[in-house]
Amino acid sequence: MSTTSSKTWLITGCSSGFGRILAEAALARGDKVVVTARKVENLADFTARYPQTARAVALDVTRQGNPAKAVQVADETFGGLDILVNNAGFGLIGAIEEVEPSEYRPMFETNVFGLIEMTRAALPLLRRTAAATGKRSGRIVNFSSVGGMTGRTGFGLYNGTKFAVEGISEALAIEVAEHGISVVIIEPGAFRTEFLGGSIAVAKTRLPAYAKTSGATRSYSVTNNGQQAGDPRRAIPVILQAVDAAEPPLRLPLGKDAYARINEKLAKVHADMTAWEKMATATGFDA
Amino acid sequence: MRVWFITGASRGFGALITQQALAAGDAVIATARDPKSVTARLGEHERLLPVKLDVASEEQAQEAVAAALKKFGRIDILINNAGFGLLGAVEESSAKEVERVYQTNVFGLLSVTRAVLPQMRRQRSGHVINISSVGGYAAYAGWGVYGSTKFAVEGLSEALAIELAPLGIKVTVVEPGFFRTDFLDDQSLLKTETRIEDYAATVGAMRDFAAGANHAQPGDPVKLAAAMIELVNAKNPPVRLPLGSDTVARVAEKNAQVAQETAQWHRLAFSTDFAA
Repeated sequence: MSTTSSKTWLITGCSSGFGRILAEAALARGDKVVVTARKVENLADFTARYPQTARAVALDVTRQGNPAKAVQVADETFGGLDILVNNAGFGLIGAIEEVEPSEYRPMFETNVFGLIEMTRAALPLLRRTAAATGKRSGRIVNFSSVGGMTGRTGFGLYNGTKFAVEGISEALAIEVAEHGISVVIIEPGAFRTEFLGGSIAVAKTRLPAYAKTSGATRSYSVTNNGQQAGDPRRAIPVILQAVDAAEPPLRLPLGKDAYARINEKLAKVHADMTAWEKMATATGFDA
Repeated sequence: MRVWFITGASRGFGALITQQALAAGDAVIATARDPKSVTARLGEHERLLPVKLDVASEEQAQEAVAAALKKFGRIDILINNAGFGLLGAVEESSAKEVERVYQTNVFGLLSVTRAVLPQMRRQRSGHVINISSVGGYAAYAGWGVYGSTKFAVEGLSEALAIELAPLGIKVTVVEPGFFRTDFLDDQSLLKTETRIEDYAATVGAMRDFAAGANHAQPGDPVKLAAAMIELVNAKNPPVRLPLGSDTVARVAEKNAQVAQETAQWHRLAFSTDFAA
């Protein structure tokens, strides 16, 4: 008799980093996974090791039709979809004034528009599957970042994309709750993945005016690549616990650095708001 | 005399801020896709320069700034106000609709900001004010994609504030709640073409609410415009300025939710570092 509790996942960006490690963990525990990447040859080891439960699909979230095709594989192979993981994404370093549209638009295409399109393509199947299990078992796991909660010099446009993911996720959570689907926003701090290595894009233009701010971030990205404190393998059990929970959190920051920075941000918002509250609450029409 | 550069100045917040700035004795470059609409709304004034600007055009942004500097020689305050809403579920929003709202609300804001910054850097002074929304801090059903454009503005503005501080330039994100402007009018608000019956209880209800709330919103935009004058006069302007009791309440509510979740999950999430 098959494991009634085994879930079906679709994960974007499985070549490396969190996507790869999460796919491995899901397969290792007996779940079924549609593993995806732009280069399907990077996924050969998954299907070699898990021929029954892994399916590899070429998926570029920015390519029209790709998301729907991957969802179709989940439906035809595994008969449903429980968990969508929107992990594919990358960063861009440069001051707001330094980065050009040709540099940041592709990042918005992947990190935001691609995430939306993948989600839209998967939702009908997610809703259908959750309705069939009747157990509020659907999950949409969106990878944001500590940079989706707090901005950092040199990461402004990347921050823009991850803040956007958080906004979409919050509204989505309200919209899909009654359909048995929970949304979980993952907010890693600095983790040892390809984020600062093969994945990062860097603005061509360097303005001396930003040497001490964004320039320092450029240096940081080089020296910190491969040195980040966060171990993605240790993050996986935490993510799985959140995803498996009957009532998952909407937000899951990962890493001490993420918590410290998020708490700092909440305190700053509170301080600004308190300082201006009198004026801010006096803007209504007189009764 | 300060010089303001205000996008989307032919109506709504933009027009009202322009009026108050002029009344305060300042000069204003008031931009709109059709500059005649600025004159129609605000009349002619020696300190008012209506300029054509579709924020989605990089070229027009550069030209508008050149015109501003030719007439007034400086830009002290940039108000990135041009923007519009998209109402619909995330699943209902087509790629084209998503692209449209990002093109104006995010990419347009960036184009104008990049066009203005070199002048502010030369001055080693200035104030960039980006109009966000309560929906840019905490999302609502039916407003996810629009909200996400404002979330994006908030994120990039936080980074921008750090980058510009050493250059003597301030950055403030303004978060209006529900204010009585044309925002919910059919001519301003983009509604998704697709309607999915499964979202009737959430997004469908929001569509009904929006129709009923149009021109009945509690916020007085004249008071918001007055708040902008106070903001630019402040010695230490905040990075974030929620405006409206509804916004203040929503921000506090979200912060409490985030704090509660972090308290619940932080011990687990602290276990993720590599062993020392």
